[in-house]
Amino acid sequence: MNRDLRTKLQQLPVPEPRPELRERIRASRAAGERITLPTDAEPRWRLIVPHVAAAAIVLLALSWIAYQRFGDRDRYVPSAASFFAGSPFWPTPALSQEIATGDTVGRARYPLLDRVPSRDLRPGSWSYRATMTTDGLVTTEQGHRKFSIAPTTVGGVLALAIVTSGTGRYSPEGFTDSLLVSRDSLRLLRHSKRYGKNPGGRDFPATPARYLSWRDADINWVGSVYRALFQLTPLNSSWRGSVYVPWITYPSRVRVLAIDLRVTGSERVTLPAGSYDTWVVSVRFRDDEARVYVSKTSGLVVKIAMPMGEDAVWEQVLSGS
Amino acid sequence: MSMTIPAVRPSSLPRVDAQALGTLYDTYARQLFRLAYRLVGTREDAEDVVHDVFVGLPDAFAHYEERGRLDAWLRRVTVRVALMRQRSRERRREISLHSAADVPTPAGLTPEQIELQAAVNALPGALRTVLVLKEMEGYSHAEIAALLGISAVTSRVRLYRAMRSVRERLEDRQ
Repeated sequence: MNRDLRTKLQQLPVPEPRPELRERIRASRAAGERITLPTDAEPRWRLIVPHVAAAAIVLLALSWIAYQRFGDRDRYVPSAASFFAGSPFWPTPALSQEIATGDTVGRARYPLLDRVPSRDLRPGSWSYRATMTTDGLVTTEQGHRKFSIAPTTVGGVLALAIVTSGTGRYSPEGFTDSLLVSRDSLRLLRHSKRYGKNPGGRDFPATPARYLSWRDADINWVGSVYRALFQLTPLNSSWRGSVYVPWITYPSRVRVLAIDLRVTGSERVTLPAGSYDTWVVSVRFRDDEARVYVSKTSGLVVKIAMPMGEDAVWEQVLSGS
Repeated sequence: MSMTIPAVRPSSLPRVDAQALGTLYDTYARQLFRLAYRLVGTREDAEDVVHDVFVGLPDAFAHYEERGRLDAWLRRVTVRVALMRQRSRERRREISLHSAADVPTPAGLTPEQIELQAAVNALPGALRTVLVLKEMEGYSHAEIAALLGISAVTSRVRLYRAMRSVRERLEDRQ
């Protein structure tokens, strides 16, 4: 039926153009008439650009896959961002942070945190228990931590000693991290660390003065600063901020790491030391994300949970005060 | 129905002067008029389309890249000009005193051909265009899709509807 109809359609006669059409065209041309025809010619760049873009995307994807598969992520790889490091346009100096050396790992997601709001640090002493739980079934002890804030004097200056000490599977001889700050302005005075038998530390000069801020946050969870910073920072449900911190890698090399912090919700947690209404803060750096539970009333860090691989969780919980 | 067209390439026409345009007209005008007539449905509109094509041709050659046959390129340009004319007519709702199905048809048609021509003329523009290009001019669905800015599937659907509509109209008249 269709074939028959198709044949009939093709056999429909069509009239001839009238002879005067040729003369009409000639007259229009002679009169200077111009008509722009809808040709199908594409500008050459419109033909080339999609091919170049597609090739670039494929190359980029292959490079990324190869890097993920074979690359040593801790190996020194200069990034384009390092080109600006140290310049006035680099985020850290532009926002009054001093870190501007080395390479940068990641990019801050939120507004940068600088100095903490002035809020009193509450003296006290708190104990934590560290555990590692694998597959949700096997829990192993990972030592204990003690965190304290105590009044003291340093060279006649009224100060606070913020100290974290403890033991763990990998530091059977114990460690101590002490930070001394002036009591009135939180100016940094001295930072001492002892890990096993290896002491270390530094004194901060009076000028230029440097004050306790989020850029002193440590990312290995053994230092003192995190807990103090959360006590100093009033949180709310929409609180978020990022910070660039120095990250020392082997071989001796300083890279700049972006840490992103965000309140993701609130939760009531029950721990050996009691029950607490807390803000849950997500702390992201590199590919890791930890959750820090901060008491709504005191600003005290009562719990830290960090996934270790896909099947284990490392936790610190408040066990006494 | 296909006819062999001698390939006249613009490269052999360094400047499309009046004589060269005349050569092109002699070679292609009849074929292009035929295509335009089938698309727009009247001799007057088809002549206007051919007129526009040949008046604009010298300037349009600046965009011709010799990547295909010249006659195929001319046919594509003619289809586009015809479609533009068809659309502008639809926008202006330019309707003659006759209904679309009663547009004068060439003399010498058999009664059956008159019925068939009326059925084709009665089709909506979108369906008629696909029917003409596919069944009467031999374009592929892919080519129609590229010309009309639609998908090949849409082209197939429109052709199916057009053929069904023509068949139903012919059956109603019987």
